[in-house]
Amino acid sequence: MTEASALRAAMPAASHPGAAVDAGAPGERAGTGAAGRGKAAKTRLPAVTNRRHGRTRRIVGVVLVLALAEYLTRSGLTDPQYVPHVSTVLKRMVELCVDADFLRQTLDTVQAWLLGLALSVVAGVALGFVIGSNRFLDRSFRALFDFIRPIPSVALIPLGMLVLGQGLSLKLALVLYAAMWPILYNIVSAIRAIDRVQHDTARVFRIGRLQRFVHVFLPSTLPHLATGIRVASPIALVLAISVEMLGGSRTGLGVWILDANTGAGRADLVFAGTAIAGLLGALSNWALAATERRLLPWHPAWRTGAER
Amino acid sequence: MSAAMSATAATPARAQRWHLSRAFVTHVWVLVVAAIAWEAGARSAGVFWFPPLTTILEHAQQLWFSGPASSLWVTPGFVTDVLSSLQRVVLGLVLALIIGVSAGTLIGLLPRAGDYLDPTLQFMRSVPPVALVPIFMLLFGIGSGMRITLIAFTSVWPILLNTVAGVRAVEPLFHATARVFHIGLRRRLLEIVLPASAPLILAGLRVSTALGLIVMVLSEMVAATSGIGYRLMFEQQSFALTNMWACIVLLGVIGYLLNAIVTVIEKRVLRWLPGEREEKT
Repeated sequence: MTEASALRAAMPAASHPGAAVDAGAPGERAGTGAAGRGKAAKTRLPAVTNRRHGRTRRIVGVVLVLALAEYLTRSGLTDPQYVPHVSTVLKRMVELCVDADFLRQTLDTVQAWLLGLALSVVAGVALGFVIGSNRFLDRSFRALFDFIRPIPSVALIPLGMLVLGQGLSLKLALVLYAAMWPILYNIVSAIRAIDRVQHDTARVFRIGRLQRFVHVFLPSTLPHLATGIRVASPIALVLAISVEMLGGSRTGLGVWILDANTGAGRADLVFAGTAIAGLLGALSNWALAATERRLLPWHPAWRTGAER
Repeated sequence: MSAAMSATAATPARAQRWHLSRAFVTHVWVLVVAAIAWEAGARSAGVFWFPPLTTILEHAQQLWFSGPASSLWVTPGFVTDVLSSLQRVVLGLVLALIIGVSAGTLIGLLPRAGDYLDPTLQFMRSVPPVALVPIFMLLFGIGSGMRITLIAFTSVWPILLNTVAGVRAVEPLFHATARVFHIGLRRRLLEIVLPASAPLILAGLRVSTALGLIVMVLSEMVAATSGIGYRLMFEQQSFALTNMWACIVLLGVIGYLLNAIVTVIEKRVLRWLPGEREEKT
């Protein structure tokens, strides 16, 4: 599927206590923190202990990586004119967080990102319900989509510029094109996966259409929709920034980075802007995953990373 | 229909073949209808940015496949546009695969390394590839090498993260058994860890391939002199809409073929996996 879909499998698996069933050879385990988890299992609170240890390790890891990068950028291995010191980039990032112009442009990007994502959700859900409720349509459209989907989104930017101009509508159209797929596919597969028995039981008991929708449909499609949105969100951000940098937009984070590069020639600002773009994507992914965990705890789909 | 049903009961192989052929018919049917709809729609609409499919294909043939027989009917344009692009994306993906699998295996095998590196990796893969173009141009110039590096750099993360997940998910009993039989690290890696994590690695490769194609195009849209992305920008600046469409269709075909290649590799490598024999959509 799309970028993050398969990646999703990576980290949940890492912090998944269920994965660490001890096979009697703790020292031999290749898994994440396997030894630690084996011990934790004996102290009765595996999940809590592990999560806390995991968090500490994550923080330590970030600090170590930053320190290493700082050392490397200072070692004279790279030209400081092209590769600024990490501490400089961090300082610039903090400064940018209160820079009015930067914030305004970033807000433009965020606006296109969220609007485009909302459009993708609406379009993906609507199309997904239509296609998913009919086997024939599903098969037919799959064939068609197999040909449309491989077209790289950025390749449509030049065409879009001529048709839609260089404003917000171009951003929205491309975000929609790229971010709709994960939502659409997840909805279709969710509808496919609805338990036949559940469905039939509801009908046998003459449970009304609305009730059926609320009690059968929603619970089984929501987790998939959430997964779809989580996968689609970084794609939408990437597309918004891509259009800004390649599609001749006038404002936006991408435009700001371009200006910092060609106009001012400030490598530190380019790195800082790019890092903030990356942070935005990572934060959205993290926030969506956390929301999912909180809102949809009954469904195991988000942990196993089943759909890919 | 009923004959086919009885065939289902008789031999699974024949049933599967029937199933495949039916799927094939559905596919072709839809594509033919879509093509006709496009053609008719474009002809009746007559909008400059929406040319009929046949015109697009004619232009594509003009651009890339009208060369002399001595050069296998391809034009010099095919070499500078298509072959240079393909070379970049393939090299980039091979690099990403090598680096991703080796680094991923290492991280997966080291206890707790994943925890330490997780935020960094998540951040790295969240950076929009397009925003890296200026940085990579500063670091590596504007040659083909920069583009290959960028493709490799952006498409390494799905493979790497999936390899980590795959290596970690290896059945602990396998490791224990290997230890009991005194099987060395080398053999354990090649004969236990890699095969067991192959399904996830290949799923990562599929994601990376789509990503690699995108990054290939966008890297060629900036300061390039060859490649499909360059051709696309060139045609746009000369308002040659039909040629642009030809590029888009060609990219769709390349994306489809790359995906098909990954599927073939997947089928080959994962032949032993029980679930792999069912038809996958």
